[in-house]
Amino acid sequence: MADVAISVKNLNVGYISDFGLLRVLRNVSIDIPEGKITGIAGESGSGKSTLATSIMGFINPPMLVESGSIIVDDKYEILSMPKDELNKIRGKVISYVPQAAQNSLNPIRKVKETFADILKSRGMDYYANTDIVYKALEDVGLTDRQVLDMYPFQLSGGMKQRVVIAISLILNPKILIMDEPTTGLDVIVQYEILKLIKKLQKEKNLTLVIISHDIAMLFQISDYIAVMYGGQIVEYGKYITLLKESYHPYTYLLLSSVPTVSSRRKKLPRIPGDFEGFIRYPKGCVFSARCPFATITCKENPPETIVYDKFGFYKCSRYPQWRNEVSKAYE
Amino acid sequence: MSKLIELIHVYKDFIVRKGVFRKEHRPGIWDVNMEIRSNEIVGMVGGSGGGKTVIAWMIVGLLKPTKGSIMYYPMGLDVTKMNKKELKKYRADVQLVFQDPYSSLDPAHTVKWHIERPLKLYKYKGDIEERVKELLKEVALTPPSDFLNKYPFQLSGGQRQRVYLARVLALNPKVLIADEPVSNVDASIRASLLDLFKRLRDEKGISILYITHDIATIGYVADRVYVVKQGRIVEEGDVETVITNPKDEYTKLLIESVPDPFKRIE
Repeated sequence: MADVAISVKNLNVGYISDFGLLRVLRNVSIDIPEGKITGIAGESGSGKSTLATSIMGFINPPMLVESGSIIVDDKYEILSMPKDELNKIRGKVISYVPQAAQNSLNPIRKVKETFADILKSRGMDYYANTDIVYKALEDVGLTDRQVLDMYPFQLSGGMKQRVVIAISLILNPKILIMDEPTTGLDVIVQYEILKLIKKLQKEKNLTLVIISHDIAMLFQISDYIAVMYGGQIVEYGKYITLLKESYHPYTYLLLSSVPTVSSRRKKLPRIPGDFEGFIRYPKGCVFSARCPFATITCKENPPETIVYDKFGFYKCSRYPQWRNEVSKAYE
Repeated sequence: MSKLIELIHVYKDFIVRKGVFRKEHRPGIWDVNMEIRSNEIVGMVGGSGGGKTVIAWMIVGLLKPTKGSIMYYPMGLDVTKMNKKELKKYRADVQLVFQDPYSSLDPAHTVKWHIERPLKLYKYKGDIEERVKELLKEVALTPPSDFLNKYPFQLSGGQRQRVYLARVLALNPKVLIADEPVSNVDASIRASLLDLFKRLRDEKGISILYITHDIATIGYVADRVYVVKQGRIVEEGDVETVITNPKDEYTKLLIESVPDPFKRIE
């Protein structure tokens, strides 16, 4: 069994707002295995990016960590480390590609200069380390070194994404967190980037965490998948387990509501309603208001976390009964 | 099935500035022939920069083609040669649905205001309030009284797209040009929006040009499909045939790239 790269325990994170503290992450615990791809799936407003920024230690007001612990690489206590210590491990141990990172390249600086900045921040000279840069570009499939002399607006979306990945890997981190790595790319480019990510992960034995709302894409590439809803992880486990036997109805409904080329004549299930939001947080199970299988108990009492192996768990009190009622979702 | 809209040998050049005086014409859209028939959902699929949106904008009259004509048969006129009055009537019949539900609604106004506006502009005779409620019911925003006075920021992405659809449906259009209508919407909402499109076709007889880069949703919702690559149509036909037996390399690539949870990348 693989070891744990990131261990999150009972994490509660909120945002200070006009309504007081708005708690977003509720008792999130997850162990992310080393050398594997872990996908974090969830819809907008489910807390996926909040989880990622907490792991990176980017905690600035109005964001507030109430309680919990995050241990990265078995020794770094992210939440109690001072800022300069954190800066030392960022990029080297753990690296982060934020959402729409391809648009964060400085438009008035050449790609080369961006690389130079990063090396400089680690006290390395660009011209003494060009071989590192060339290697990084080759790794992401940019064999033409002309890219270095170009401005971001001269690059296509896919090329920018490749540059961003090269930048994030230049200091050889063990762990890489990518937030929506394929937004804004069309399907063909997305497919190429995914193949590239998978290849790099295998070559470098990276621990990769990919955050996305695109559950189909995550199942294509991840080894482990965590499904988030309303600030909680409702199910976590090996992708094949989730694909074959979802323990949580939300996973099942999300997976079966993806239209695929082969699902032409099939009727897709529907998930009624919308998430209530964090202000009127449901009393019982977070998904109960939209769950076609929910009972009164579901709405009143939060379900227990049922752990079934080293990493996997689910939060549903109606498993396996709901499996017999699947037809309800198609009415 | 009768033809509603037909694009006949449509070309569109773009002007690229080369220095102060020199200009260069670059072909954008090249000899596109396309038709939208009554009571059907027709898909248009292709990668980004392929010219899908340009074709859509030419159909609704936001861009003028360099060459060729766009016939609108219910009025018997060429869209490119319409005068202002005819264009106003045409735009009530053929409506555009945008990709981003977050920017297509005015944040300073309520849902009611958005749906009332086309009715007022086109001098609707009858009870406007009743009509607005009826429209909200049609797009499954029930009960309507819950939504009338809400502002866009109080709604989710899927709800906003529904509000926009209600607004579009206010004038009983014959054709909807939907440019990536579900790509910015969460997965759990996507299927029900696609079902709504099917319902509009079956119950109200509205034809829809459904534009997307995701051929999987085309397979789910459309009857016929056009595959667009670099401003040209490389393949067209019945969806079933195109998906099960693609002829063009580009179509094959599009089908291969579609995210499918059961298709593993190793």
